[in-house]
Amino acid sequence: MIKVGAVLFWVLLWQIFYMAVGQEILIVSPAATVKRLFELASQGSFWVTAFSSLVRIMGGYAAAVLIGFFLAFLTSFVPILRALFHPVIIAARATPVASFIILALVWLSSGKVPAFIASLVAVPIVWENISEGISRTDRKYLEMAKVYRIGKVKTFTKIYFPSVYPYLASGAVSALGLAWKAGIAAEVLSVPKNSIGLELYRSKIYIETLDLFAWTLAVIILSVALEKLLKYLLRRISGRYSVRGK
Amino acid sequence: MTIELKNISKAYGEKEVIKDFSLSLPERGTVCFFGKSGCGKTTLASLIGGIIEGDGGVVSGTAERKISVVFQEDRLLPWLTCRENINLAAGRKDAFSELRYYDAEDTANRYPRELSGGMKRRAALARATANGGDICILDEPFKGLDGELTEKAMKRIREVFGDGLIILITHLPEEAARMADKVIFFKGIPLEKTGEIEFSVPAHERSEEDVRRYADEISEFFRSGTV
Repeated sequence: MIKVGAVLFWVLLWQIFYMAVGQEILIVSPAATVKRLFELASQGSFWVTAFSSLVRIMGGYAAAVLIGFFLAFLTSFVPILRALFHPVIIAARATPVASFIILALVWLSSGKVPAFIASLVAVPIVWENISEGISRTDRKYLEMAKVYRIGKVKTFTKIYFPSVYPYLASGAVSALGLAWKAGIAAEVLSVPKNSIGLELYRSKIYIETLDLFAWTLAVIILSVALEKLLKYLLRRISGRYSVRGK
Repeated sequence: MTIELKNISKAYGEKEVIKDFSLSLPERGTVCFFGKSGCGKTTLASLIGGIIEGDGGVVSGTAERKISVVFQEDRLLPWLTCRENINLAAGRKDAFSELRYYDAEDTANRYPRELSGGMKRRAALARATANGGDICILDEPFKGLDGELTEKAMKRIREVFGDGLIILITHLPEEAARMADKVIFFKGIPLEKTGEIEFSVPAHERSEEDVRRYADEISEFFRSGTV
């Protein structure tokens, strides 16, 4: 109830702002934005565009979660790899996304840039969270595993994985929103066919402020929906790992 | 093959818990490590069991020997049920049936967080006896168990590890008197052996009278200036 109230408050503020400015080229009304979004959504091409962007960016994100996961284990257990990758990951986190996008445009075909950028943004976050989880894995359980000779594979699946899972989950959730936004930004600069980024770019070129707002609203709605879906899946996969400590 | 500890050392930060310490343990029988808590008994047993690495010295006679441990803090994985915990450690799907020796079959499908301290203890004991082996390290194993259950647990441990070496860590004279063939007294830190007592009546043949007598002997030794 409070959440709905808060959203209504900001929408109201947007409306007041719109009325105060009074120029549709600078800001459009919330009602017009929603109406335009419905119009767009009634066309098949909207769904093709949204779905293509989703698949493209989420593909990059999913790869990032996997890469971040394995990289975290490698760098946690192989000191030389930790030394090797640490500066790269710190640098990747500090580099402006725009620099990477422009570089990626030189290196890759335009369709691949958004996925690559989404990965690049997500890997350090996932890596950092999982590395933290690995370092916090209870030594007492590892000693137990050693005495009872449960083996490397089971030590990984039965001790490390459940210990790291809450960190993996929180890393994956934080990385999702960032990867999605960076992916859309990459689409705006690389303008692949059937992409939300291309639509945003077009609305800029033709000064279609209404379309810009409508597509932006679509991006926000998709982002919220993706996060909710991910949280639901993470809960479903393993409610049992949520138990921590002794 | 006896277990030999030669000049072993172990420090935690600045604290030298064990310093240049040597000890010889028999191949079979029950040896009790007796001493105040914090004197380094657990660290010593952990070095013997290969649970932790020492800073120096040599432990021989334990390689190739299968070891089971009942840790002071259970160490049951919280995301696994008792059944899964026991099966995982013992490497067998039916290992959890060991719970029956501790009247705890009904805990099989429950998670450690759902169990009382005593119930967790029973699951940890079942894990050790289900795994079996040549050496069993028991760190305050009967904490939270009543007399009858302690008796049952001791019987089961003797059945499983009778041909091997059982190391019992305790500060309770009665527990040592019921189970041990030999009691080694320690003080710390750094860990120091202050003496030992060997009992003539085998543990499984001891009467209540014997147990009382041995417990008194242990208490007496502990109270006397030697410890």
